[in-house]
Amino acid sequence: MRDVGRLSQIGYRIYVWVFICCAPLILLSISTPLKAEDVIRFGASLSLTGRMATEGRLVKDGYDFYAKHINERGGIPIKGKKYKVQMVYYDDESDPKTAARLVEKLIVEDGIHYLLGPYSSSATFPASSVAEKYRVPMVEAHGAATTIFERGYKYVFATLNTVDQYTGGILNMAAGLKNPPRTIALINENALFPQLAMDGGENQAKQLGIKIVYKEKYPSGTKDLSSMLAVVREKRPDILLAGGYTADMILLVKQAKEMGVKPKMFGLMLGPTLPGFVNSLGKDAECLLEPIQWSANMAWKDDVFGWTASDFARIFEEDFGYAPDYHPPQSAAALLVYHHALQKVGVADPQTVRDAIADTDIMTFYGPIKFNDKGMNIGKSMAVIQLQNGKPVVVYPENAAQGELVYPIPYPK
Amino acid sequence: MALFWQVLINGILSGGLYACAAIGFSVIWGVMNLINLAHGSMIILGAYITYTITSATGVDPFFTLPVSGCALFILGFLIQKYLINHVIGGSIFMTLILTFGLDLLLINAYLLLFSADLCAITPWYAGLGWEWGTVKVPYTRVGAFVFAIGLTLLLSLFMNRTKLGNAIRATGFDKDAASLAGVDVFKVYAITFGIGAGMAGMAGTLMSVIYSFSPVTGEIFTMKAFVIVVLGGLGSMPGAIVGGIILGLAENFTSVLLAPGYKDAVSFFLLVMILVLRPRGILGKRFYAEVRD
Amino acid sequence: MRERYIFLLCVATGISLSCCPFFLSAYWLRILTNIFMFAIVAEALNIIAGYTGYPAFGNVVFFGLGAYSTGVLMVKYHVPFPITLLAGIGVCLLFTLLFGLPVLRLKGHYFAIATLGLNEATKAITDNLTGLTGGGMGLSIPLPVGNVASTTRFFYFLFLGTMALVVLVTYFLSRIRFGYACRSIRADEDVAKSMGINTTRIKTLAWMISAGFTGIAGSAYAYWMSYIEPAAVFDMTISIKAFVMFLLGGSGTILGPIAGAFFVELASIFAWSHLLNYHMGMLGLIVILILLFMPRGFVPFVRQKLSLPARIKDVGKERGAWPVRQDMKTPSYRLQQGEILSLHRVASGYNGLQVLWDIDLSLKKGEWLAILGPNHAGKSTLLKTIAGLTQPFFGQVLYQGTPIHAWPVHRRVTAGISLVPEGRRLFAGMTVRENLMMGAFSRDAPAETRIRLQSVFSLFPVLKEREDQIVGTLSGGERQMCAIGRALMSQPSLLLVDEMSLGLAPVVIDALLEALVTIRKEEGMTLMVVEQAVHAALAYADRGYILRKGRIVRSGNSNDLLQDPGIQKDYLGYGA
Repeated sequence: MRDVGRLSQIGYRIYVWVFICCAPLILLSISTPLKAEDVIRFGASLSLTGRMATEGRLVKDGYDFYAKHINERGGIPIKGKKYKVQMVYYDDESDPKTAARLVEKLIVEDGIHYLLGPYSSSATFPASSVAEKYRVPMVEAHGAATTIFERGYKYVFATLNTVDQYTGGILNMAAGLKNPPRTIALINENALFPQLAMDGGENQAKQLGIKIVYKEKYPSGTKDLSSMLAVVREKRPDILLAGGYTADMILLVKQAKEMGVKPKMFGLMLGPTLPGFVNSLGKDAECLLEPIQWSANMAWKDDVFGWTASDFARIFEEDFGYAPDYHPPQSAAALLVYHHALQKVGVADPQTVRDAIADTDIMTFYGPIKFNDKGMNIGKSMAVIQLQNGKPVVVYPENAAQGELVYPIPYPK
Repeated sequence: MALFWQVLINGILSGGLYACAAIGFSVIWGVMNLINLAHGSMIILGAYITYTITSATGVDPFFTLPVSGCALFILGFLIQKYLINHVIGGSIFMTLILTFGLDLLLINAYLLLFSADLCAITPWYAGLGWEWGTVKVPYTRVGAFVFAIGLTLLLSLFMNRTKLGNAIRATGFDKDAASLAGVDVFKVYAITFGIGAGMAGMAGTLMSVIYSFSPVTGEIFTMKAFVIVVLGGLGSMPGAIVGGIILGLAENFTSVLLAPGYKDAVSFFLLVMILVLRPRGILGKRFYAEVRD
Repeated sequence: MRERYIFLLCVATGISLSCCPFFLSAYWLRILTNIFMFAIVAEALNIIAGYTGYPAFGNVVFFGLGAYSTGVLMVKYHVPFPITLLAGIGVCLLFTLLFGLPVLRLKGHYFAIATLGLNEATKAITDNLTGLTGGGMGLSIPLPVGNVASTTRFFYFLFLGTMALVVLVTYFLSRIRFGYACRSIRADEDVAKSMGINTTRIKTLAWMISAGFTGIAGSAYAYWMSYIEPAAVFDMTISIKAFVMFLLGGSGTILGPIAGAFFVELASIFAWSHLLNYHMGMLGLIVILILLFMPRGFVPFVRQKLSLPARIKDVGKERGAWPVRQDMKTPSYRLQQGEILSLHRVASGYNGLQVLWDIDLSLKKGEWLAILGPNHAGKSTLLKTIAGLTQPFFGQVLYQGTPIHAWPVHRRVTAGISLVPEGRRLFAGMTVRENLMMGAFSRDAPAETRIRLQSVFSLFPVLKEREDQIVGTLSGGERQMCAIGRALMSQPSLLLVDEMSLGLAPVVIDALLEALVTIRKEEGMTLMVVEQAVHAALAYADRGYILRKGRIVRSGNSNDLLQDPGIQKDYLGYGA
């Protein structure tokens, strides 16, 4: 018989020595950071790995884009001096409670006073609580849930439009068509943003007189939606809207095809404009709709860099090798908010900077940014794209449209 | 009515796949009284092996079955021989936690090697399938089902008809008596764990064709394996098939009749019910539940 | 008394921890608070898993229930926090009562999985009750009132206080009858029941206490974090970490889980700070190393060093506890003429008990040796030592001149030793034929095996009749025949038979003995038979050894032994 005892004898001795040696090392190694003088540090917890890693990377690229270009110009000019920008990131692995912990680490251990948001409402929700607790401003760009802003927090601001606007564009567009769709099915992942999005969609559909034939949520991490989609097929909805993150959306489109679900309009809250989405699905991605926060053909111009939206897209593609969807400029815009605020009050304590942020009223390549008293951006609104020949084409609102909506989706016989 | 058939078929097809995923777990538990919490991660490793080979060579994923099976067999054999062997006689906590530690190591390794992104394999026939009226039966799922059942039956044959298979079964019944019959119990354990791992790896290959996966998606399969083994009965191969299909049907019908959100709740509810009412499972043999501590 | 030192140490630690908030940074306080929280969960787990022996793998369900009680009550009904704390405890106790009775009927692995299932089911249900719990969207709890410093201190003391409380409660419980009842359930539940302990009530109470404290930790966590979601508070990782902590610290001890919590959390945080990409793997590696090298944990080790009395738990399943003595390595005994087996100064035992003391034994080829003696004299242990199921820790076992005491069992089988074990130990789910064929596992020649099978069938014709029946359906005598047949299939030179007559009718016993006679005659088999039926054993055997309390007290020719008045009085029931 194997000798468990012998190993134990050695083991105990090792254990005691390791413990004696390591304990002081551990205690010593956790040190407080030094502050460099002419550098402004921004910190963020990002989902660099995990199920939202694809989106997380876009967010980081957006932040890095700003940092690169502002540093190329010598830094942010604040009251006669130029301050270089340094970004501090930690990977929260797409886990909200890790995000909260990391934000606290950034504040307490790393001494960061200007926070940026993580990716997803699920992570922003707890992370913003930490910021609020420590009275440190957080300008987030990727948490759209309205509930984030309904807690009476003073330190949290968002550059993006909130979730209640996500489904509005598609549904308004649908209601205005010649042969408008009559029925709708709504499915979502059981998580904060998708749930709120579909709840919003339900309300809007009711107001527009579109009949809801199916509304259900599926558990996070589900691998198999086929039976759910089989039921959806039976209901024959004219519109199918789905809320979830990119990975689920790819799965959904695949299995919808397998199950033979053929709606006249098919909208996803996220996915179609993400790089890699069209590659993963090929022809199956045709005619999918997505509400977007920004597109490169918008007529906005920035006063810090002098770029229009399309300039941004071009330069970004040169730097990072892919055409940006709305996530990178959304991130960069958050830094622009700090840029303007710091210029106004100097490198001041977090509370003063917070007050300056609350007064923001600026125009950027991402669009106008102006915060209401809850911290939401009421300056701009959202659009809708449709994938046509593998490319996103803005189809709504009319004054920004690049092309015609293809309706109904032409399925092969 | 067509909906009923569609859901039934979905349930059976995914059930067969689940059974294959659980069989390795069942064998290890039944013979060695060891719950392998790293089982899900071994399934994922099989999926990654298939993904790597398919991306590099473009060969059809089903052809990678022998590779994932063998690779995982060797890995399992080594893990048992050099790692788990040390605590095999100890308390249940120890083996549970050891395999948990192993699971963490594996997940971290995948994160470093493959990153956390979701991978999926899309063969040219993905999305296509047979159509009977409005009922759709995708090729990929049928293929996975056929292989899954086939592998499970092969394993069953091996366990019942070959000398080594009988030795493994005997060791599961009574390890001291088996050693008295001349069986090297430690070698048998290593082989058994290898077989369990190999089956997991092949199940992973089959999964990869249908579902997308990432380093952290293995846990779900370990949980499902628990439920299936308890449902179908420990140590029983036909039990694993029965358990898998019951789980597949339960999940799919719950999706439709109740709400998709309750899919997982139902499977765990079933688990608790069976444990309370009939711990030996549907096809399990009485002595396993009683003799085993 | 050393115990007093430990007590003073605890008090000193308690005081120094209470002073920490006044000179440590918020970051460190947060780390300590986190450690206290895990310590509470680990210590609570210890009550049901360590002391009572029921591995509640899914104990984290109470953490989640506590968290959601606080969350739901504070958000929906604006109940102040302290009351939600009590409500949380109440919910956990109710849950235990509801599910405790059916689930506690299960043992070991099955209990562990049932609790796992309970946790996952509760998580899934909480996920779906969006109206009540916020479902997958999570619940945002009102921030605690006060500035950063005061709230940090509040939670620090809340968790510290609860940790002290759970330690005190565990200490108190271990001293009263309840604690002993728990430990007796862990040691042997059936025996505990037969001693009049209401095991159901004790188990349920133990689980309730464990649940209550875990619930407090959950409630406080919710208020501390200000945001909870099902996946975060019904998280299996918390349970597993708690298990690792109390294993590492020493299960079934009072301070073990606390020590474990400190070590594991500090290691975790260190890994997290510096090895962000590897922290998962680091934790896994630590867990594995701990289990390999320190299976019993830290506290028992310390206790040993301080020479404190061992707890009941420490004596027990020790393997390899015997030091390897010199004599085992060098054979210094010569093979005698015609001798097939010899034991020299063998001392053997198992489970921490020594059973055989100084055994010297010699067996010639073709002899029939009877081993006799009262119960627990060590007869079975003797055969097991020869067969290899038990390793001797002193002395030599020589088979055909070669020392075999270090050989594994299967090697001895191949060499020609075969044991028919006590209780037969047939492979219950297999047929007669399959059992017999398993006996031939060590032999590679299929043709010989078939011949062998036929000879076993001719020796025991009834086995041929029942060839394809599952052995569970056979009668006692038939099973014994099958066991002997199985042992014969490996073509042994030395057959050891352990208590074959137990529970069998005299006529069956005679038939079996006649079969042994046949085997010996036809194959020149050497036999060593342990028997309770002394008269019959001596009637057939050539020689006999009498064992008593692990020592050989008489040996000699069977005839001489039968005539011996002392033997007649002690074992045969007649004589002077």
